[in-house]
Amino acid sequence: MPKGAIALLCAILLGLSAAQAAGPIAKLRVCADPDNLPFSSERGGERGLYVELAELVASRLGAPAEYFWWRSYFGRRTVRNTLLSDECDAYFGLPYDKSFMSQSVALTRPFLDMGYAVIAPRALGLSALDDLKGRRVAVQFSSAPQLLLSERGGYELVTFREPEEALDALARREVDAAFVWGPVAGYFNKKRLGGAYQVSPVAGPGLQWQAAVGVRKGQDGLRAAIEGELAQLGPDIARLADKYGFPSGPAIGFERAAESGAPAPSVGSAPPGRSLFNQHCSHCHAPNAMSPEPSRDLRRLRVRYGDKMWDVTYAAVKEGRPTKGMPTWGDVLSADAIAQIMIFLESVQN
Amino acid sequence: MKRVTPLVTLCSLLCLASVAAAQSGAAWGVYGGDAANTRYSTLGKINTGNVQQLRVAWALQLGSVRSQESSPILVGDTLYVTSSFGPKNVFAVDAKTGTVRWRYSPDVPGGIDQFACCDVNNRGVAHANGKIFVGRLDGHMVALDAKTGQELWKTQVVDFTQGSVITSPPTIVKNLVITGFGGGEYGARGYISALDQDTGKEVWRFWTVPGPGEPGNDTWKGDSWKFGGATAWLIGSYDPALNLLYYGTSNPSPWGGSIRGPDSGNYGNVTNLYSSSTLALNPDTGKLVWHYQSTPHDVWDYDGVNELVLADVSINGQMTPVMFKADRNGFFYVLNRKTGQLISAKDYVPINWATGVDMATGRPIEVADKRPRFKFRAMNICPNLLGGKNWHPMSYNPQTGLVYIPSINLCMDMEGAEPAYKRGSFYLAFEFDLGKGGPGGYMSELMAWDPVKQQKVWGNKDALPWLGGTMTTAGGLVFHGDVRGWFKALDAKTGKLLWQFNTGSGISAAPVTYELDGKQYVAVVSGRTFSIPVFLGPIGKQMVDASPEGGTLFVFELPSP
Repeated sequence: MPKGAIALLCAILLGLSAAQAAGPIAKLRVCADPDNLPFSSERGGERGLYVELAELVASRLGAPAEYFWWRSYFGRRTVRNTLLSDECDAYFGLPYDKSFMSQSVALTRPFLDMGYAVIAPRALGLSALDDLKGRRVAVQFSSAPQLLLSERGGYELVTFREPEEALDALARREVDAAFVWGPVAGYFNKKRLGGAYQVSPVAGPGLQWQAAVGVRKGQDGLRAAIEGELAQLGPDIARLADKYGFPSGPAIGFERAAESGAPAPSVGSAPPGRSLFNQHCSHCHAPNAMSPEPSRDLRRLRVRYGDKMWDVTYAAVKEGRPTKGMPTWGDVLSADAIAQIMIFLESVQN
Repeated sequence: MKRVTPLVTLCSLLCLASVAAAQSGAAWGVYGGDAANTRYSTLGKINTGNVQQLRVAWALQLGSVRSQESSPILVGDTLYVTSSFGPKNVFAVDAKTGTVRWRYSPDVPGGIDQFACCDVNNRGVAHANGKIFVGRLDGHMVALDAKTGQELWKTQVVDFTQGSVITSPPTIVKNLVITGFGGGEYGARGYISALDQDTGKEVWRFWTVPGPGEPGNDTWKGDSWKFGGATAWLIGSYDPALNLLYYGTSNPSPWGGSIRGPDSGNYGNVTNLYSSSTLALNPDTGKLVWHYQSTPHDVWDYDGVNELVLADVSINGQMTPVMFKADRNGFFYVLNRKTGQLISAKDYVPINWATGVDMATGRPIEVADKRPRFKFRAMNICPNLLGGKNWHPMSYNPQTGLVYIPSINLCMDMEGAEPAYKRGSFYLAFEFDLGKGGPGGYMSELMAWDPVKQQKVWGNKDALPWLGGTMTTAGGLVFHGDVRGWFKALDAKTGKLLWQFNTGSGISAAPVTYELDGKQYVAVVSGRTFSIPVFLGPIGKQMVDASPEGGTLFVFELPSP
């Protein structure tokens, strides 16, 4: 048989197996990072929580697990290069977030809560963020804790590129505490610090996530099968999280300070009509009505319509000008909102 | 260099600020046509009267089909051109026929596209003294024998696994080969590195973010300078008469401003030097001579790397050595390139994040609700982070006195944080929306800009963004491509379309022209951008639909008489 025909046949068979969502799964092709403990490792010894979990799922599905190893430096790109390139079929440990690559990835229900944590010597007796005021606090570059602590102020932040560098600095007592991804902190504490440090989850915006398994969109059968097994594996997942030292216990919260400390958005200082205008009209008429395109330049309404400006504008906004591409806003904007926009427009007339 | 030095000296004497000589003649020996990056050629055999007859002389498949950004250079009768992806290939070809003389295909580590923020591109090579210099995605600079393609030395400039890649040709000054790298998105701390052309050894290094104890370090909050970005990832310019080397620098890192300073436009002196800036260095020592920061305490990713075009123009009746920069932030800057003094700044695309530039301080006058902040999403900021112009080179024609700018008209919503995925951990889910068409219903405009009067002379608007770089000639022409794959010749005075050819894939790269045996050729690399559409939502879809990916060098000529 010519090669082309074999390829075609394979394509048809593969297509069939994908289409037969409910059919048996021959093997579970798992996307995983080769060097990312405590999550996954290609080497012998500890294989990581995601790999051990994938093995459990695969075994329950009666399908051997195979791995496509790819370094996960940058999230979306990694998913594109692995799962979406059909190199593997299941990505363990994607963020359970409906907006995460939602056009191409389908997620199971989450199987584990995780997030950032703070790790510090127990002697510090850390129970609130204020306990760290004035202290040297390690953060990872461009991480959520770096941003939140920068916002709050009052900490001597010491920034590192990699979480391991932050933890090494902590072990050397060069910093008093470190904010890193919880599982990494817990695993480091267990492996390198003899469990002597306190590792507490931290709560706040962008700090806590749930992990799910991602498959390619359309692979509903596979997604459902994995989800079904995960639902049965709760005790095993808890055991694995403990084995790898993932932190648990009461969280230290950012919330209170974030609410009181956040600057009031200055959008309020703009006239309400301008905000409404920029929200609804600027797409065609330019932000702040400053369109360089004369036919859409609403700073010329007075010039164009003189005393009738109010009447013409109100009618145009409310009823639209379908032949000229102007939508009907009467159903979208209240009379009050239209009036606000018109007050704003009045203020920008040439 | 011995052969060249007397010419430079002569020119220094005769041409004062030397820029009159900084134009490409028969050869196109450097990425920007000359060290002044004018992309102006004195050749005029192909002109407004006969350009309609232009036809393909030969073409070369580059062997990769993704985001071609290369401008070829001509040395002798050999044309040197690179492909994307590493580069995957550097070709030396007979400039008359396209016959390949040698090919250099370095082993670039697998999966390297993970480390390149904005695609696996390469913009070309540089030449000096029989050597071809290539900056690679894996952070290495190599020197090749121009005759054989044999690798002479290889120096690691930066560790690519930190997200720093080299995508642009180096700048050649005297015995040095000078380069920066990218990585402003990934927390690099930028530097410009000067290597010895013969050995590849580093001669000097200038950190674009000052360290502790250096002037400017106090323009950063806390220890944020450590990963402050400000990388110099495009090619520099050089003025031999003033002996000054010029580079633009990228955005500061990370994007969220509150990590680097106050979370407001009242940043005082916390401006994050030398990010989003223009730098003038002494190339002999690597010491800073002057700097001008176009976007202080940048939170918009208004990366300031765009090429610096050197020219001498009359300002208030005085011939003045200036430089032009069409900044991503939407302002067209004219600086005195000897002193760094701001001469003028004017918005050349629709902008709304600032109302102008304060001529006393040189700082933009910000519109408060257009500065993204922590927990504050600024809406409809124009231009978006691709800028009023991106890396696609502009050109300056001293005959018309006009700059030809491939401008962009897009806006964005942005919040004072970015989705920062960390290996093993998740990300801050603040999305930004870049895919907003700008005011006026067009997304790009090829414009002729009078840099002295600071006003547009003509403009050709386009419904899609991402016009290719430009090149202009004494034949009264401007050449450029577009995302659909059309390669066009325009009348430099009016913008009128005189000729076009469909190359079959989008063009981002800037064209070049050269003359051999009395015949003028025009060359351009075609191959649509791959990664930029991803950022742009439905607009990106239109870009993708506009043409397939590709990778071809086209060379054009007039029919023989």
